[in-house]
Formats: sequence, C-alpha cells, structure tokens
Amino acid sequence: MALDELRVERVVLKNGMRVLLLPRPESPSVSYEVRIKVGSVDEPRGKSGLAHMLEHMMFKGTRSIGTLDYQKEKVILQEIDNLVEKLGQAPSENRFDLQQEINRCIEKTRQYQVPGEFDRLYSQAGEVGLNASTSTDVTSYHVTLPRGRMEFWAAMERERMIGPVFREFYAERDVVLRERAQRVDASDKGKLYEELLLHAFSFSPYRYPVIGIRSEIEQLTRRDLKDFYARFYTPENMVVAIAGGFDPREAKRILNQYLAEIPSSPIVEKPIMPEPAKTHSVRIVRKSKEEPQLIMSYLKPTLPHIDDTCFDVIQEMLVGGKTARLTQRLVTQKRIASSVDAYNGFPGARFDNLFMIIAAPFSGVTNQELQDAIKIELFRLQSEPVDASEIERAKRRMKKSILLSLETDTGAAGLLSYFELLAGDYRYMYENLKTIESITPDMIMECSRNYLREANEVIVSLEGEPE
Amino acid sequence: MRKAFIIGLLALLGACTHLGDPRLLAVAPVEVRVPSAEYINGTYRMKGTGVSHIAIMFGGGTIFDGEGKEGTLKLLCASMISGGIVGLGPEKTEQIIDDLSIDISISPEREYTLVRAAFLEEDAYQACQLLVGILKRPSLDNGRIELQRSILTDGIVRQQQQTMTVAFDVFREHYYRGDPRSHKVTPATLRSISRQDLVRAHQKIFIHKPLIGVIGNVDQQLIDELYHSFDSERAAVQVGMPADPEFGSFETNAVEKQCVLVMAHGAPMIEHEIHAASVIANHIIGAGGFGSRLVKEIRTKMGLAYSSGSFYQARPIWAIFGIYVVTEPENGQAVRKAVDEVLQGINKGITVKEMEWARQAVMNSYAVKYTNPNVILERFLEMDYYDIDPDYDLRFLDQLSKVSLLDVQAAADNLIAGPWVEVLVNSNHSIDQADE
Repeated sequence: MALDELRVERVVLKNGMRVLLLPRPESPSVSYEVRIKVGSVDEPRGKSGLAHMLEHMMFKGTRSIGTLDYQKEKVILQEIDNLVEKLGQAPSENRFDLQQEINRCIEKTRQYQVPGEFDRLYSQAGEVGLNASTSTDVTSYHVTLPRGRMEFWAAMERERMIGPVFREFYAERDVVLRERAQRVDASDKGKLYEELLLHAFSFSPYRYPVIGIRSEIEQLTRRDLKDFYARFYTPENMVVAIAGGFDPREAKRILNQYLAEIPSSPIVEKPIMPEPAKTHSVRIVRKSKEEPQLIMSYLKPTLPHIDDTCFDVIQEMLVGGKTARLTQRLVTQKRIASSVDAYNGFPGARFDNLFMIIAAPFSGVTNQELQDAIKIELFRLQSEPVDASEIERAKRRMKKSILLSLETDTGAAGLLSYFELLAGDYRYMYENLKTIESITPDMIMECSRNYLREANEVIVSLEGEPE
Repeated sequence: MRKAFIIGLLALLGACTHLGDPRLLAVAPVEVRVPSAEYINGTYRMKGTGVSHIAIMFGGGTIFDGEGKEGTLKLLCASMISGGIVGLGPEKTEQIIDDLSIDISISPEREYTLVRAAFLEEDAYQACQLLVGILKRPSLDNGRIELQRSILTDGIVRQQQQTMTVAFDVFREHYYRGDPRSHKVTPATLRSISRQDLVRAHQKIFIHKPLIGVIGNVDQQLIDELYHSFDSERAAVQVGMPADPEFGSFETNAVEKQCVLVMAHGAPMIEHEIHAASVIANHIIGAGGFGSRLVKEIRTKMGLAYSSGSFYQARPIWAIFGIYVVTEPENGQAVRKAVDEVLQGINKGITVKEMEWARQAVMNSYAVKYTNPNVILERFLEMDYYDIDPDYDLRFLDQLSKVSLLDVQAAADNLIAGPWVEVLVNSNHSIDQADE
C-alpha cells in the first residue's frame, strides 16, 4: 500500500472541530482519539501539573453521569471551593478548622456521588484501552469500542465536552501525587529527566515537568481547573480521529448531531519567548545507588523546519538498527554501552526542542568514556560526508515505522490526529518522507555542525556512589 | 453566567434533536465479532496493510533451562540474531537486516518460543531466506555470545532494582517451590552457560516443525519452504500447576523508592465449569478498571495508590489469580489493610448490577481486544499450541451469557479464598530512613 492511498476523509464541523475519518469495513471495532492542543506548556506560571490533573478529572463524570443529584452536589462543591479559597488566605491558627470543614463537606458530597460511573458506562459498552495522556503539547483521550457504538461514544464525549464535573478533586490530587511518586520520585532516573529540562531550557515552557512540581500540584484547586478547561477545551482546539469498522455517512450524521453544536471560543495562544541559543555547555552529575545512565542533549528547531527532518535522519543513522553508527561502535564494537538510543523532538514538538542521546554504560565503564566515544561519532557526522545509502536506509525505516503505526485502528487514529493537530495537516507524515528525499549529505553535515556542538549541549548523568 | 446560559440552551437543543442517553446506548445490543484468521495449507493468514509479518511458534521455552543455567534460552535467542548465519557472519547478516529494514525478534516464553519478523511487502523473499538461516544455521559467534551475555547481565542488574520485578521474583520462588519455574536468571547463571549449552538448546527447540502465521502478501511457497526446513514433528510442551507451593507472607526490599504488594495463587483452568464466572468475578474484583472494587476503593475513594488491580490467566493445565498494588513506601501496611477490606466486601456480596455490568463489559469487549492483527495471529497460534478448540470463543461467549449471580459470587469467593503467596516489597531507602 502506498502511504498516500490511505482513504482519510477530513471533515470540519461547524464549530471548528476537525474530524479525520478512516473507515476500514472489515474491522470489528472502532478506535477514537480526541486530541486537544493543550499541554503543560499552556499552564500559568506556578500551576504546573494543571493540564495533567485536568486530564484525570475528565473521567470524574458530568452533570448527569457520576451523580445522584447534581443540583444538591453542586451546592456543596461550591462551598468546598469557597472554603479552599479562604484556606489559602487564612492565618495559620484558622487553617486546621477550615481544613476540617472542607473534609466534612467532602464527606457530604459522597452521598450524591456515583464513583467511577463514567468509566463504568464505557466499560459496559465494551471499551478496550479507555485512557488519556498529557504531554507538554497535547492532551489525548482514546478508546476502542465494538463497531456500532459510535453514537454512544459521541454522547459520552459530548457530555464531558459541555459539562464535566470535577468531583472527588482532592482525593484525585492525592492520586496524582502518588503517580508522581511512582513515576518520578521513586527513581533517580525519573528525576534526571526533570533536571535535564531545567538546564536545557531557560525560557521555554518545556522547562517544567508535565506531571508538575510536587509543591505546585499540592496547591492546585478546582477553580484553577475550571478556568483552564474553559480556556482550552474548545472545539476549535480539538482534533478527532476515528478509524475502524464504520460507515462514514452515518459517522458524519452522528458527529453533526452530537458534537457540531458544542459552542466554540477562539483560542488566544500565549506568546512564547523563543529559547535563546546556548552559549556554554552544561554538565550535571548525580550520584546514585541506581545503575549509571548518561543523557546528552542539543537544542534544535522543531517541525516543519528542514533541520528537524535532518535530525529524523540523523536519529536513524545513529541508532536505527544494529549497524547504525552509535549502536555498532558503542555496543557491538567497543562494548562500552549496554544500550544506546536517540530521540529527536524531546519533550515536545510545538516549540524548539532537543535532540537527545541516552546511553547506559557497561559495568566498569565510566560515563565519561561513553560520552567521549559518542562525541567521536558526532564529530564524524560533522566532518565526514554521509553515504547516500545511509539516508536511503533511514527513509525505508521511517516509511516502515509509519506503515506499522497505521496497521491498527488505534495506531492510525493516534498518528493521524497527532500530525493534524501539531503540523496542521495529517498529510505532514507523507510530506516529511518526501522532504527526506531532498536531504543531502551536506545538509546532514551542516546540521550536525550547527547543533551538535559543545556550546549547545546539556549533559546529565547518574553515576554510582560507593556502597 | 454566559456559559451556563449556553449550556442550558444546549440541553434544550439536545432534547429537541433527540440525543441519545449514554446509559441506554451503552447497553444497546451490539454485534460481537470473534477474531478470525484463515487457515490455509497449515498457515494462519490475515490481510496486511503494507508491512508483512510472519509469526513462528516453536514448542519449548525457558522451562528447558537447566538448574544453575537459567537464562540459556534467552542468551541463545539473543545470540541467534546477533551472531548471524553460518557462512555470512554477524556483520553481513546485520547489514542485510538493516538494509531491508527487517525487524526480527525471538522471544522465549515459558512453554514456547515465538519468532516474529516484520518487513516491507517487496522484501518477503529475502526476509524468509534470512529467517530460515537464522533459525536453522545460526553461527553462534563467540564474540556475539559474550556481547549478549553482557547485555543480558546488565539488564538483570537494572531490573533487580525495580520493586515490581523483585516482587514477582519472590512470588515465583515461593509459589513454584521446587519447580524450574521458581528459578531465577542471575548474572551467575548467565556466566555458567557455555556455547555448547546454547548449541544443545538450539537443537532441542529449533528442529521441530513450528506453527506459522502470516499477515500480508507472502507467497505460500516461501512459507512452505520455511515450514519444511524443520524436520522433526511438532512438539508441544506444557507445564501444569505447581506441586508444592509455599503459601505465606514474605517481605523484602529493592532500590526503587516505592512499595509493591503482590498476592496470588492458583485458579480455575480454562475448561473448568466456573471459568466464565471467574472471568466476570475478576472484572469486578480488580480487572475492570475504575468500575472494579479494588480501584474504586483504593485509588478513587482512598487515594492510596496510583496502580492497583487483579489478574486472572487461565490455560488448559494451569491458571493463576492475583492482586497487585503499587504505592509509596510509607503506605504498605495501609494498602494491605485496604485490600483485606475490599476482599471482605466481595465476600459480603456482589450485586446484580455489578454482575450485569461486568458481564456486558467482558462480552462486549471480547472482540475489541483482538483488533491488532499481530495479537489475533498470536492468539490463533497459542490456541493451536494448547489444543484449544477453534470454537472456544463462541462457546465461551455463550457460557458468559448464562452465568448467574450465584455462579459469580461462588467464583469470586473461590478466587479470593486463601491461601495466598503474598509478597510485600519496600524500598531500601525507606528502611534506611527508618533505621536512622
């Protein structure tokens, strides 16, 4: 199958919501992906973790789902909001009583709440993979349902697009703190990535972790969430992709009936100061009982800049396969690394981002030795012309990777919506492959010289500490 | 205010355009299509979308590793790809793999070994030739064996820092006491494996006719050649329930700063009369996400843990049911208590509403789990391997539709009844702090 033979229909609903339809008549199910252009980069200063917290709260039900009597519940929820606001300004001697009062109100709300009803309905309908994710750039909600359930899906998503209720907020905030504990605080490696971002970006919103800073998560309120939701969860800021066993005509009828009438408001993106060019190298070494790890990163432009495509090729040349440069030299030949990987576009693609190399040294090898060996390969990229066959191989691998993603309904819905939202057009994934055709060995050399240089690097590492 | 007005207007508009009620739409009858693949000339086949896949299942897996030589099959499989083909050598083999962008993996499971290859449609011939070479005539290059030994050793050392890995290792040690499944791959066992051990392991597994599945356009003649390049008759290895599990509570620690509770024991096998009811019960206990009792109580209501749930795996001659919770080091005991309360609640009674919810969830999602062609194909190979009747899916759906509340309650009581092998792993870090 040629990539551009993919029969995707792009529909724009009258409220501005973009929908991509990929019917596959033989599929027994349908995958849905709702992507919203909001992520941690959109959070107000001091409110890190808000986008991710909101994603969690979008499963807590609506005015009619998850409640026995919303009108009564609402009164208590508002009372809690008022008390939390007072708590924030209260002198310390009053705080204990206020907190007790809040706890009493939370208990009172429980009599009206039906925990987990939103998920339970999806589950009853036969969902698989009901989940969501938040990145620096995007928040995504995905699910796969049996064919014939599109009206149910549209009714559920409409419910949470017009009237989510952020109930059980404070218990969920604890869950998010535990998620942070599990994913970040539990290991020094988790913390290493936060350290990398902090040093790699001075102004960019990519500086802050998606999950949020613990002390800031602890201060988030339901009101913060409501404001953030009202600002970004608007149809014009959303892309929906649907792939699987459905009739496109029926799909359009359902979409128009359930989602097209949701009111939209224009999005005003906050101006982002471009990340200034780095002037000196940064090296951070952390001692740890964990196994050592090395991360090297370089600031570079994001898509659709041609240099971003060059880095897609560089990534493949360095780690795409067993004979790729870094894999071959560090793992197979010199045997100084047990693993090496590279990633173009960390942590997101909306703003200038990082090209990153992650390597783990074999026992007895220092991070410095590993780093020196990596630098030799980076220097080769800058000084020796690339063989055209390496670019050809990179192109094949990238094409195959896209085809593999498109193989499943879930993968297709995810990929189409991702490019539609971030690149403005899902066809960017084909265009990028064509752009690769235009990449020359000279361009790879120039790109490497411009970005893979010492003054532009941030290196963080974990090193063993004596027992 | 303006937003409230708009929402009110929308509600009115909704009523006028007859928007469906999600509660009713969720339970509307839906067609459940069980997964299917064609069976042609001894090969399971499915359509592809540009990339072709071949899945090959050989009888025999890590259960064959000798005592003190655990990791033999893992090391063999890694060395087969890395070491290349006799006559070609490692470098040339890797070059062909990379030039054609072929992904090859050889994954040893406990009872079988699964080989997967993915390649662009136009490269089917070269991919099949390469596969036959790697599987039949691996050069098992000494240098590459040492490289793979180092990589596996490094991976084990890293995994041993994770609480979840430690928890399941300790669980296996006690649940499968005195049985090869309790043995652990360690740097020492990896060190003791010789090239001759690998050659012997290769001759034990990669000589038997395998089960084969194909996605995409791969000529049947190529598949026939692949199949006939293995001479011995098919061999299926199956191991049953453990003979002498050591039930009880076990505590240990790991470097990672979190706490994991795992508790599990045997469960009804796939043909047992309460298997269908047990699947529904498992959904209610902890496998049904936010609607399940464990998640609802421990995560949603108490905010005690981010990850929790239950698992139930059943095969013709073995089955296991278990519960897991991941939390912060200081919450270990609170979580243990909360799990007990949830289990007591299950004993007190499952409601009709819960049972109907779980039944619909399991039945309606049955086909949805198998939409990835690779997953479907592997399922067919596995069903064939374990001699599960091809009509099993339809029969199982029928059984699900007939279970009663009494059946589900009995199945749940059975699943959560002791004795357990219970493992609590906490972090070294918290223990250090407590000592101070």
